[in-house]
Amino acid sequence: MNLLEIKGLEASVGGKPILHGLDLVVPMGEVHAIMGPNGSGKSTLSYVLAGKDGYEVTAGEVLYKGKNLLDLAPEERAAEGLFLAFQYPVAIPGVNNMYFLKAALNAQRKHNGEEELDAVDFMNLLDGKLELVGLDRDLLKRSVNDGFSGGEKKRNEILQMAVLEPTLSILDETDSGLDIDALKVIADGVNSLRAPDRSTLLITHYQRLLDYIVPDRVHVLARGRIIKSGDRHLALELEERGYAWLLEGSETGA
Amino acid sequence: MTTLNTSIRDAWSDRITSTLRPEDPEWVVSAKREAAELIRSKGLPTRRDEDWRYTDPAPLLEADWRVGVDGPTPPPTEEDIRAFTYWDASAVRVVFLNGRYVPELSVHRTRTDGLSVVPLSEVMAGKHPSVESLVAQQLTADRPAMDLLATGGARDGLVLRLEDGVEVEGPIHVLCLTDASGDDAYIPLFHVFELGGASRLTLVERYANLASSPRSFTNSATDILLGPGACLDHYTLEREAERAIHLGARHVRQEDRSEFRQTTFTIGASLARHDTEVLCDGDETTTSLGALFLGEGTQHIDHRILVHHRGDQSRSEQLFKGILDEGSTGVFNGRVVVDEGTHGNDAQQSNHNLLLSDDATVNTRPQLEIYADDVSCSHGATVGQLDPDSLFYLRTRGIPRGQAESLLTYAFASDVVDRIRIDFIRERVQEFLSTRMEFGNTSEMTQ
Ligand SMILES: Nc1ncnc2c1ncn2[C@@H]1O[C@H](COP(=O)(O)OP(=O)(O)OP(=O)(O)O)[C@@H](O)[C@H]1O
Ligand SMILES: [Mg+2]
Repeated sequence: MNLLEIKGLEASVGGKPILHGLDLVVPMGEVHAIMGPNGSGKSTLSYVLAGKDGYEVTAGEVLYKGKNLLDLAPEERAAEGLFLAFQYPVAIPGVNNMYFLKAALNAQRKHNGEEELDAVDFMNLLDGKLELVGLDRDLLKRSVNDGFSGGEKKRNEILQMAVLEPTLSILDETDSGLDIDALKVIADGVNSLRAPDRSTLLITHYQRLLDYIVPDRVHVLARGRIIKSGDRHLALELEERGYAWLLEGSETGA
Repeated sequence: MTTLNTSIRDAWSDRITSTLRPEDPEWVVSAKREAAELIRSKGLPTRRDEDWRYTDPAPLLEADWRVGVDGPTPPPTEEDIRAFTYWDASAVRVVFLNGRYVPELSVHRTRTDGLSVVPLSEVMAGKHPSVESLVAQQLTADRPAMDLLATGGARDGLVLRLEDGVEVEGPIHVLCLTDASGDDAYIPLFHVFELGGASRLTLVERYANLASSPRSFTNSATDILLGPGACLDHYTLEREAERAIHLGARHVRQEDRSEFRQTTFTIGASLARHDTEVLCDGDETTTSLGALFLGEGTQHIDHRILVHHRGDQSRSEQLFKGILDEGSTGVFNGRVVVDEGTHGNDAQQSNHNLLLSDDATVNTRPQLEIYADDVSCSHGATVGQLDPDSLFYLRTRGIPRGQAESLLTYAFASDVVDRIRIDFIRERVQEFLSTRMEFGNTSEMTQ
């Protein structure tokens, strides 16, 4: 079964068309990587999937669990198991990180008719996740991402992912700007969620991450479309040859 | 000056003299007569005055206010004021009802040597000679006409004096309640706090209405004198009823190395105006003013601030935050003056406003008047809506829009709330905010 099916997706931001008929299928249980040049529309795709205001879908459809994803509000998509790790996580001064995590988890549980966790149960759950992510406990007492280093922000995204246990995780360059240890943490986080009933979409510029998280498929997004797909060897080839050889072919096709 | 204004100021002048009593000592009589005379000669503010540019004083001056309105009979009991005191662990609590001291509801749990806390009414009756000259001096101090209506008309208020070096443990709580039978009660109050050198005190002024809420006008003036090295942590919690008018003015004079910290929460009243004037008269003084004001309905909330640096090496900061919903309006009129020839002063000022509705408005007017060369100053003002990126981030984690908006609104207020050093008051304010913003328990929400 396909968890995510994107067909002919066209989207504009601020009146500017960015996605030009994008097709992508992510079957249940698989990890797919998306690579592509700067400005090709990768983050735009992730925002469209998460439901950001101002990202207008002008054509095409997106099916998630077989249902129209685009009808849902961002919080409904989240409760349905869609998670986006932001390329640039937002700092929110005045909102405590721990409170935020608990509010998020309980909002989703409530939406799904599950009982909300009390403080004790939540702490127990959190303890295990913290260890997995290797995040300093003190960061939980601070405001969400406020004054966090680049790497801490990324780890915080992974902590949220580990706590929320999404069905579809979209990681937008979560590996950028990370040291080797942090890279392994991300990989462990993603790999720990690997299951037959979950899928992951990894947006990355570096083959390096794919050494730790071996993808089932690799796609190249350029000029708002998926212009090539292959197995993990495609990532190695891109690492070696860059994107130019692919772009030449796509120009005539566009 | 228009004829209209003439008849109004005569009426106010008469209101002041009507508070005279046959048994009043000479110094009270002359102070009240002088105030009445000044109102007649100086007149009252109009919208043309800079200080009243965004708040029209005419409607509140023109109304037919009655002075000396009695409280309800029988008078309220401890049980009746429970809502304001159940959490109160204060060592000293002084209660005023309709501008009059209520001994039955006031408590003095501790007696600190060197601390006198007495009602102005008793001072005016000659019962506390030791503070008489202080009160007489402040009664005749130069002040704006609107404040003269408070000091001239007041028959009561709190007179507090702290001797050099005395440190008071726990806050002193001044509870000013209104429960007027019928409409149009005018309730003037005059508080005077004098802190001797190196003394320390935390004080909470609270303004609220008991159950019923006819239209009333509370006008309070608070004079604060801080001796060398004195330290006052001062809170004003104003939550008057829907139809009430509240004017509150604080005049502060700081000597060398003194520290004045003030945090104001303005939540109630149809019209609330809070003036704070701080004269940094000495060197190395510290002044920290913070305020949170919340408007809804057609509320109008005006804050006017003047921080005047006359000495050297002093620091002042202002953090004023407004959250305005529905058709409410807010005003921030903040002025900083640094005198010529002073050195090393540092003055920071910021005013941030959140407009939760299209109909809400705010006028923000930061003014720096710097006549010194060796000075560091900054000011900033913002007016905005909730940050869409933050809102989106929260929603992508499953937090519904309404809850996410509440959370961000609460977060906006958090740095002012966090100023409160008295745990039980901070918790009550957090509780209030979370109820107002419609979500559950927030005790763990901010750091
Ligand atoms: N709000 C906006 N208004 C106009 N153009 C925009 C807006 N947001 C994004 N774009 C443009 O859309 C294009 C795609 O941006 P996007 O962020 O999706 O690229 P990306 O593939 O994620 O790039 P990178 O690898 O650098 O992260 C870029 O040309 C960008 O400038
Ligand atoms: Mg991007």
